[in-house]
Amino acid sequence: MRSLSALSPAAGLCPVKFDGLELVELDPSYLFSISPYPGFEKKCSAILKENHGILLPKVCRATGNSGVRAIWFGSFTLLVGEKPNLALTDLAAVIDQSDAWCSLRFKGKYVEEVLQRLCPIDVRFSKFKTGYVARSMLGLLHVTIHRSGKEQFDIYGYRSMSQTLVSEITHSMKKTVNVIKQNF
Amino acid sequence: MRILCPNCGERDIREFYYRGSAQDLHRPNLEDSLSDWHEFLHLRDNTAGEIRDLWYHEKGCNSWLVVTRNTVTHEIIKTELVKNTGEVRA
Amino acid sequence: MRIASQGILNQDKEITFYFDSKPYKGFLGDTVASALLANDVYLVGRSFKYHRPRGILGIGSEEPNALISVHKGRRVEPNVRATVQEIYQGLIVTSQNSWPNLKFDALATNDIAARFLSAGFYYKTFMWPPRFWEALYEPIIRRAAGLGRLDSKTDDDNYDQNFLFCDLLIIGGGPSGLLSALLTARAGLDVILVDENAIFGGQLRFENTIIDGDHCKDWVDSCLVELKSLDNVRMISRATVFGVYDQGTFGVLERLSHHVQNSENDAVLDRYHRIVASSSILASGSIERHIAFGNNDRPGIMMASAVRGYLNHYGVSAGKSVSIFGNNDDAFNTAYDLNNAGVEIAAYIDSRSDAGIQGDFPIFRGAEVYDTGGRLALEHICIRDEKGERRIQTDCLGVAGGWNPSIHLSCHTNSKPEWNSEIAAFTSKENSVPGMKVVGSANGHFTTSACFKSVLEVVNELLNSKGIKIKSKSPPKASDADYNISPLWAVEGHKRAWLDFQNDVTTKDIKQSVAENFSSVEHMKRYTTQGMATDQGKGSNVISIALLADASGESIESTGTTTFRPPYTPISIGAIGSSGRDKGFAPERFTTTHSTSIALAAPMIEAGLWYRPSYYPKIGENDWLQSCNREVLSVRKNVGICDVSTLGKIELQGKDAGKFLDFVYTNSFSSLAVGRVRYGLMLREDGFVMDDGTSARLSENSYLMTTTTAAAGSVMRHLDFVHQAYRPDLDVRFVSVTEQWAQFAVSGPRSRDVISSILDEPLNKKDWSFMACGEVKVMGVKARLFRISFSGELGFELAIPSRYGASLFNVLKLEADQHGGGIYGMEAMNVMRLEKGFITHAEIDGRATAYDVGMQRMLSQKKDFIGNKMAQRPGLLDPNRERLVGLKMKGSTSSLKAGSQLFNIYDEPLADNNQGFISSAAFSPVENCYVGLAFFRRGPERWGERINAVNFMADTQLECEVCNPVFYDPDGNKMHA
Repeated sequence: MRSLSALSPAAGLCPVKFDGLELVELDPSYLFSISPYPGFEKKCSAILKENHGILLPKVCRATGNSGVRAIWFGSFTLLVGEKPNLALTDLAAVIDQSDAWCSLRFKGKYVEEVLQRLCPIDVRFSKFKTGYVARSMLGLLHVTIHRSGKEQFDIYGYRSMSQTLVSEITHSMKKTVNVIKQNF
Repeated sequence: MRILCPNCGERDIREFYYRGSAQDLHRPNLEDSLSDWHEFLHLRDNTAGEIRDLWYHEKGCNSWLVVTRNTVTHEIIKTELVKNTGEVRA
Repeated sequence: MRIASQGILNQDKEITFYFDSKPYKGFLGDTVASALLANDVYLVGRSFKYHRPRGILGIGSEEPNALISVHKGRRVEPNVRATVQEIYQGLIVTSQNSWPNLKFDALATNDIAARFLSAGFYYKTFMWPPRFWEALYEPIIRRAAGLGRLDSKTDDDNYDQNFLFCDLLIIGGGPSGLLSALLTARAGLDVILVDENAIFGGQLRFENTIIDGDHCKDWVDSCLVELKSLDNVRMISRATVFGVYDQGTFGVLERLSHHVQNSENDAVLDRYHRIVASSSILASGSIERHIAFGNNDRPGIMMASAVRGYLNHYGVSAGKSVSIFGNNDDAFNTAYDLNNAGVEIAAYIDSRSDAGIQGDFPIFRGAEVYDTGGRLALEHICIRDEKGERRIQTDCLGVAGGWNPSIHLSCHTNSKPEWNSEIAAFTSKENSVPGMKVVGSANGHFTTSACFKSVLEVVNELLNSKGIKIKSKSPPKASDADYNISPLWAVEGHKRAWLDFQNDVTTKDIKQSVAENFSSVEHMKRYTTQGMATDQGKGSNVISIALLADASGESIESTGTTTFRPPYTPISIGAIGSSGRDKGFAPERFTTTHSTSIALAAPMIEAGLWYRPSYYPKIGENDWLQSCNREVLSVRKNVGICDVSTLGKIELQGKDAGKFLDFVYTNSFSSLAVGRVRYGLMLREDGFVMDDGTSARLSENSYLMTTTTAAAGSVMRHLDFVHQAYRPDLDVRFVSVTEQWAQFAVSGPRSRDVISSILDEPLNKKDWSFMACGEVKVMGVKARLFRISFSGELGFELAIPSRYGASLFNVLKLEADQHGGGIYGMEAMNVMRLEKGFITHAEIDGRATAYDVGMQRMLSQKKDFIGNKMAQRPGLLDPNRERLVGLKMKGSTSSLKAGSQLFNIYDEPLADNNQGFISSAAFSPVENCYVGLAFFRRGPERWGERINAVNFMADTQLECEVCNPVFYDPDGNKMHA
């Protein structure tokens, strides 16, 4: 019998490794947007806690860590890693986004230096700590940046622009390392 | 230029889309006269001083904002989410 | 001349560089200027207009004279200041603006003709006859003019950029900047310190001031050691803050490898930083100015502080027998330092009769230099005092006309500086730039001790405002004496006295400007070109303002300055635009089938950021039209597959989702049954069409809206606005799902067979009538099926999660091939929609109303919706409007073009007779002729008329028949089959 084969958004583009910097594609399995209807934020948060072990994140924050996560995405929260409990659908718009986002993890010693070339926000750890989230730009792309560790960022970009996203970060990795070498 | 987004904090102008006067918030009723509608849609003051404009944090949190700004000094006096301005009809 | 005992450079290891092909020696840390002076090279360039011999004037980035071209690899960079370019082994530089060579320049005849070339000369002379301008005058002037020569090769240098943030940006790393950095960093502020020079220290690099008992060099070193040890300080040298922008944004250009030989290809040349800082301290120092006296531009005449700097820092005496001409106490220091170093001082001339200088050298108080002599270098000066005139042999003259604070950056946001008569200079007003404080000599404090005092005040205030309490420590003690000045702008005389050395502006030009009534400072600038060269008049503007004030009988205060604008010094566009190179120029959006289309040799067209296949060529086809026709006919006859994933898809959920759609669409969606799709028309508030597309009701509380590819972004923005600003009361949430789904059109009489063949459950014809929608399963994967058609044929669109897009496309292609069809691209899609009379943004271009496109019946009368009121304006319902019709051009093979204008057969093709225009046109293989959609005056009433379509670009006139815009299957039987 015939079957359909699946391709991830950054298939063939990742991983990229360069002088201790590493860009890999995450496989989150499920991504669902959750936008509570007015007045139901607390109930949604409670259901999330009960069924997925995490709270609804505040503005510019994420909850959860290595496993299931909930990331503030501006007009909605993105539940990463698990299918949302059905009880949520009465209280919030719940929409499958599992194929919509290119999810990348970027880690290494100079991640901040690489991202500060591309993003018009202060990405230094003192200002943008683990668990912080920014909806901003990377080059000309609109992205969500989640700081998932001291030297680690998770970056979510539109699937159709994966190639540009990976290319911009790769390009910046090379430039950053060049400049660091040049300065020594 | 930088705009303080009530959600995201201060951000570079490149993240924002500019729409125009916050007068757009005061949409007349269907029964109102064509001249009221004309005024709502087309007539704007050209102020040297404080103005209130609509901006959209398009490459950010996707909120519409009212930004109060001085066109002479370029000072940004206030930014609010459109839905919190109290000017939006329920 | 190098003096071994002087300066801070390591004089052990020599470096060879080349100036105009001749090798010279210098040391690491030398600039081209210091190394040339060490080699007794005084003549370094020719001036712009008169091609006068020119030498090195200053020691910093403000240098107007010593401009050179730097040759690196295959690249040449013109107009580099010799005072900024550091030498390295093998550096190649050349002089500019001279032919055949620097010592004999043919265009120096301009200097002889100078009385004809004064201000306004070009405006007045090259006026008649008009055709001579392009043919004769301009080419000659262009060849003669210009500073250096632009390298016309592609800029293949590597540039970089950065976004930096800090609490406090300190601009300038001289005594004031260093002390500011120390005090604020110790208090814990997050500080960036930027300096344009290779090493920090500012003016202290050039002085012998004693600070806290040590030589100032030691004080600078100890500051640097401490600053480098602090985590909260970032120091950037060789970096110029070139512009100040609103809300604490600063443009900075860092020069990373102009000073090294490197030239590995990936070395970054320049880096552009955008620094954001709510507070800033401007410690940019000051620049010494000239005095206008006869022939004050000869090589060998320099700024007195530069003479001192070359001696103290580089160990170079700018002459063998140096003279100094000053009007202020700072000039003393130059004389003292030269004297202490054993350099012969030919004369010290001070315009003040009470100048308090003492020394073992000839001193002339109350005296002036009024002329100089020497062809390619200074040989003598002519001075006068109360005893009369005399000539003094000298090969270097240091001029000290007073100091101008570098206030440029504090004026970039439109603040005007104010005149401070005590120091005879402009200083910036308080709070010129919000959050910026000006300290040190940039604020008119011309001694190190006064600089330190001003820093302490400003830093204490800044820290207080941030709630940081520090003990007000006393500033370091500096040894310098007070600064007194008695302004002297110009010396009386008959010889030409130069102001702007780059643009060759003289004192006479200022007078002439006033005489011809160009007496406002902005007019004078443009009439004389004063301050309009690459140095932007840093050394000369204030003198010319003073002379303008004098000539026009105004005060300096009321004359004011011209507008200060970025950049402070020239910057490379390559660095500013570095993020726009490669894929940074525009993101690329690819559908899931992109690589399949590329593999099938489909040429791609750009639709916004998307790349879409034009057509899929087959062997034996010679051009796109052949492929396109084949694709159209195969859909019309059998079946075709097309990737339509680029259309915007927005999913709406909530109990008021229907109401919300009712408000943004002209027609009703709350009344749409679950499992059905409806075409919707969206207006702007002014009544014109914004976008169109189908929306499907997926369940009671959920809809899926589609937008056109082009308008997906603007529709989302519109929906957000309408929801947030007008209807926050509605319980609706919406999210773009464009990226989530890969969607394919399956069109043609056999499309049902193709769809059936891949679904897990067979397709029930009864359930899948035209405009039905629902969930299906394709090989076990949940998908969405819509019975909609953009081709006019029986058609479906099948949406599947994007991960399966490429795979499903291959399956569909195979099925279509087996059913006698295939895949098709944008060209065929466009032909088919045109044959069917479906509109796109070629028709709804922002000027068309629902009435114009024949959809006025879609404007619901039962509800309010965006655009409702204004669409009812009588002018928008006028039957005389240009409205949608079809055009057919039977019996001609010429191609009908969109953009052609329509005229009645009996009318001349003149604007007054215009009847409309063609919005889309294509060859229709079904009609076997060119067809078009057009907006035509009273169009729907005029079917059957013949008109002329005039293409003014191609100069063609084609006769067409006006007809129904629906060419193909007007009753819709095929679509509904």
